Amino acid sequence: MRLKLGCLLLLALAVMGCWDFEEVDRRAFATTIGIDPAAGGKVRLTVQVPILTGGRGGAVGGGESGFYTLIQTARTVNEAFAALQTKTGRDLVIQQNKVIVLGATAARAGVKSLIDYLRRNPKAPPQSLVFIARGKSAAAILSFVPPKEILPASELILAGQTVPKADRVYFIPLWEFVQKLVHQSKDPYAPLIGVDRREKCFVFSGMAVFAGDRLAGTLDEEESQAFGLLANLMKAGALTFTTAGRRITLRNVKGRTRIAVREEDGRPSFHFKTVVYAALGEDTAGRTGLTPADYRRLEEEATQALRPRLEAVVKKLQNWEADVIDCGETLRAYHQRLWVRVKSSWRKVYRQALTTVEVKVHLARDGSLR
Amino acid sequence: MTDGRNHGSLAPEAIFALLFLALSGMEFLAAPYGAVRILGPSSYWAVVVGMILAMPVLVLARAWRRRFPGKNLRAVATAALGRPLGVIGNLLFLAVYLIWLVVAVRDAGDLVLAYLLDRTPLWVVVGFFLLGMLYVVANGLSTIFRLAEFVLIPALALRLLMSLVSLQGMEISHLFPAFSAPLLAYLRAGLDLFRTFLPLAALFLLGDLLPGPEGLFRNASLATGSATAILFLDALGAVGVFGADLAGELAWPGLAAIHHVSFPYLLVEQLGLLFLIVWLVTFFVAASFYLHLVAAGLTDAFPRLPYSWTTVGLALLVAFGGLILPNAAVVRTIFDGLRRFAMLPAAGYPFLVYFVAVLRGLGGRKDAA
Repeated sequence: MRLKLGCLLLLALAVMGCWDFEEVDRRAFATTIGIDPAAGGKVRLTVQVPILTGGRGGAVGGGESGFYTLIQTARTVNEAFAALQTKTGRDLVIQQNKVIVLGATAARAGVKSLIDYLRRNPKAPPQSLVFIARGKSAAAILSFVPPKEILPASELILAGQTVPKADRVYFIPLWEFVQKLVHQSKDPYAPLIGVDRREKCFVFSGMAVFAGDRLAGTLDEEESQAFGLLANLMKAGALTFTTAGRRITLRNVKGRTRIAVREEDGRPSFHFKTVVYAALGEDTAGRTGLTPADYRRLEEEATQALRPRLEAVVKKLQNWEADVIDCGETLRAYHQRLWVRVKSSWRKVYRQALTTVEVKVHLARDGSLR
Repeated sequence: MTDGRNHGSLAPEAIFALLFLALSGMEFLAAPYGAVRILGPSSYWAVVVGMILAMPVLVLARAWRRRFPGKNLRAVATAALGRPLGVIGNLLFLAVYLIWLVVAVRDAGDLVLAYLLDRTPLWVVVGFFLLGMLYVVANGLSTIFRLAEFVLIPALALRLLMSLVSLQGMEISHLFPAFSAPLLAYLRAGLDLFRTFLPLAALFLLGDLLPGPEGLFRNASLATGSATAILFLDALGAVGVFGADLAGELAWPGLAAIHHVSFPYLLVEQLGLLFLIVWLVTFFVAASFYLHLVAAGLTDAFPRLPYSWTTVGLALLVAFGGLILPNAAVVRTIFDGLRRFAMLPAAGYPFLVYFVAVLRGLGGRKDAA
């Protein structure tokens, strides 16, 4: 009985939180992290922290928003994060991080070493969205204060959760970025983020594609749309093409691409069959009374317009040796013997592979006009 | 404290509750851990092969219950192998559970430190685990069964739900080729996951507490099937979401698969923490069961040992063993080895004892009468 009581009393101590007990108001939550290279092979870590009690904040050393920004240069990301503890009275924690912005220069040099801390630390949320700063440093992105949001991370995470954004930009959480990075048969991608200082807003547009862990190149908006169709990422696109002197925009575009692999002389060739489902969003000729024959014509015109775009993007990705459209994964999953033969020289094989694109557009409706 | 023995047989449902929690709680959220290295993308089949390999253990348990009603492994082993050999065999059998418990408590402590209590010393976490376990096992098996029955429904429901939601973001191509390795590799991987079913061998220690052969077989099979379904889902989730390459790099891929799930706009956006709490409850029940098994086994073999002080002594041994392991890499290495080899002697010994007993004409109607 005494032993039971003793055990019970000792167990009661457990509810007090042990060594890790910390009140919420004593924590500083890093909600956005920016990583850039610094001189001497070091890294520069920029961290945005919301001001929980309101008041002043913003870009480094001032501003009017509900956050403040801290910057630290160190030899590793973890060291920089730890050193940032010297710059805040609270305990800087990573559990609420929403966004990771990698500077373009850092991404070009290779990201594997930069994100090791984030993938190794079980407290770093795997759902954090990864962005690549368009032609700038991550610090430059994080120093921007959007006028409409108290916290920039809120706007970025909101964008990531909004389905219609899956058109010119495709968001990726950290866990998926790492998954593509680790797999030999895949390469990661990430959306580009820029800042329009004149209109005072973030701009999510275009994609960064990687060959291994190095940034291989960037796709513009139209190329990103083609990438979205090829990678089955487009959820609600808006594609515009010109035909017979008028401009047509297809809305609510979704795509489904299947990759067929053929073996020729022991090497794989890839045939992309993309089926596009869409509605007619706009016809600058203002035509009404569309007949089934008009639908078929429009579908054919859309097919003719889309195919070269997709072909061009496939070629571009091949030249960059960036397999973000899962050619290697298709080979690995469904053509194992061939994959085993070519995987040691996969990038070269991918670059030289014969690729063909077939597009089929299905137009389902044309809005409120007959 | 009691002597750890309970009177009367257990309800068949209690067997289900305890076995299910032991099977799902002692599997360290690492369902495809070793199998993924052997099989690659199709490692999820190893769970099924492991279950098939475990079925003879259940069949033996039923045959045992029929042939040796009311007798546990110690009693039959001593009669069949002779006292010296029987005692040594029984001690080795118990040692498997004890060593597993040592490494499991340490690994669970590391997991808690990694995901929950960063700065808390390991000895505090291990200490509280063991104090809690001591409290539960103090009254013998009946308290553990009651606890198991109490937590069964929420644990089963939440575990199943979370295993299902962990499939969020799964890529079908990650699961292919569906047969990515030679046939023998599936057997190797199945043997690797065979250890998941170590709690089944504990049935031979319960002896007189077990229900009738059919009730035992039905409920034990149901528990094994339910746990296998969840482990299979865990393996599908880990491989389907992360792919074989990344799943092979993760320390606790099952946990990572649930940790990655997000529910935007909902109050609980991340399920990782909730899942960890559910798993820790099942682990706690399973670990308490192991501690009791070893203590009860020792007091059964050496009646002069008091049950209560034996549990305290074993808890100290587990604490010492767990804390003496210098780092996570050593724990992983030992756990990997244990996972690979522990089940074979644990399952093999009851088979050996049974066959020797049959050859010597022990048991059967004469004995039952």
